[in-house]
Amino acid sequence: MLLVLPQFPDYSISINLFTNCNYKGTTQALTSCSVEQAPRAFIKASNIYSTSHLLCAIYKSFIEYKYNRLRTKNLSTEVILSLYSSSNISEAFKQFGVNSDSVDTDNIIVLQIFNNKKSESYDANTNAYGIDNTLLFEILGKNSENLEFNDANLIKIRDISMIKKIYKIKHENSTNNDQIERCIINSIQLRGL
Amino acid sequence: MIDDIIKGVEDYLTPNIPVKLISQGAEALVFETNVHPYNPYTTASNASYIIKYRPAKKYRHPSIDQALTKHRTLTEGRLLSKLSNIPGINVPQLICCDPYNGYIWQAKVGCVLPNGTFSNLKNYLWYQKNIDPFDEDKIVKVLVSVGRQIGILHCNDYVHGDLTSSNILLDNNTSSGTNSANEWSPYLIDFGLSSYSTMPEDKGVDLYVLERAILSTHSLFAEKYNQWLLQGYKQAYCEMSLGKDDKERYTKLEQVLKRFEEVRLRGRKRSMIG
Ligand SMILES: Nc1ncnc2c1ncn2[C@@H]1O[C@H](COP(=O)(O)O)[C@@H](O)[C@H]1O
Repeated sequence: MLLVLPQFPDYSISINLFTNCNYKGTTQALTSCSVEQAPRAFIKASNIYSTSHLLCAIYKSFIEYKYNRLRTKNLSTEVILSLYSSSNISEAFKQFGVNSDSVDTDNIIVLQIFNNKKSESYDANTNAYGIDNTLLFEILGKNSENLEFNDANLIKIRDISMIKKIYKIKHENSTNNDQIERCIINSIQLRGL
Repeated sequence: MIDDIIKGVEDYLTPNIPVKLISQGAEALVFETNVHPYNPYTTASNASYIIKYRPAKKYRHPSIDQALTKHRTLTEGRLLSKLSNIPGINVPQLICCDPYNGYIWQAKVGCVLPNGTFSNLKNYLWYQKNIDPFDEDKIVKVLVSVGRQIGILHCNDYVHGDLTSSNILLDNNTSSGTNSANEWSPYLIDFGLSSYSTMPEDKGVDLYVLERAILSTHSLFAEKYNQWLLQGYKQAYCEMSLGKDDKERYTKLEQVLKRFEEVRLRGRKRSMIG
């Protein structure tokens, strides 16, 4: 999916959901598969509850980027921090990032945020994932499958008990799906402020 | 002046988010839009979102002003978050916030009543008593449920801080599944002055402010209305007292009611002198 937030029209956000990954990469491989104009972030998809969950963290990253300051390298990596419920960067990367010890990660979201004006090299029409795809598939595994990033697909792979643990969602607040999503959005929006 | 502020909001939001100004208070401007800030999937044709903006105050020192704006915006956001975790309390859902610039987005609640006014408690009471002043059932139901909301709020040691009948919205959202047609759910809004408090005095003041609001807009029926509100309020305390500390809760209720009485007397004296 290629998305533009209405409030930040100069940027495009590409979100790709991969399942059946056989992740063998190292942190170094992940880094080299990023390009300067359009850095990639690799996110553990099973910890994402819904489209609103990830998108609300992306929105928060934009607000920090534009009006305050980034705490990580770039907008894409900032999303990983924004996803987490506290301001501990290394914990955030451990919970939501794909890294050298995520060997059993089957489901990965590849996120790229780029400035439309600066990224002529990105051709959304012919190539949904941008540049360096050979390397990307080497990292994700030959059998990895690209699914559409939507609620129906996320529901199939999400790990609800893990998500509840990360956001410290108590039993009485998880009686319905709306309430879980609401707790997540609240804690992302108010984190660190 | 106001045009400049609105222009600033429109610049901030870009033309991609068209807004309609729906309220202009001392502290904030409230806008409505049908564009979701980040999730295009949820932008249903009839969906509506509320953007509340606290503009900079020119007479305050810029750095103090910024800190205060951030503080009020965050207070409101935190309260929306905390209260949404308390079973039985209805508040609008927080969608996002930008405390650096004084913006908070939330879900819209309420609807337009058949007489064309917006469904806050004040307008509803006008509407209902005009179509049928003797259909007390409907009004009783609404007021008791409003009283319950406030009771649950206070029982959990939160106070609203500006509890007027325009800060209570009635929603007839039938899609939530818990509601049959013609049933109103009260929602509390506007938490910029709210806080956590265990003090009976603060709660007494909340009740007094609401009582005054009802009295000034619906004087003829005010006494009855306030009785029904209080009935719901007490009900909430009793329902929440079924646990082991019920005796303590009951004492708390009595303390609040005693304070409420005292605040009332103080108010009356003041108006006799003034
Ligand atoms: N979540 C909401 N849903 C619908 N209307 C709202 C909402 N928040 C504020 N308003 C409207 O804006 C007015 C001023 O809001 P406030 O400043 O929060 O008291 C209220 O009296 C309502 O009419």
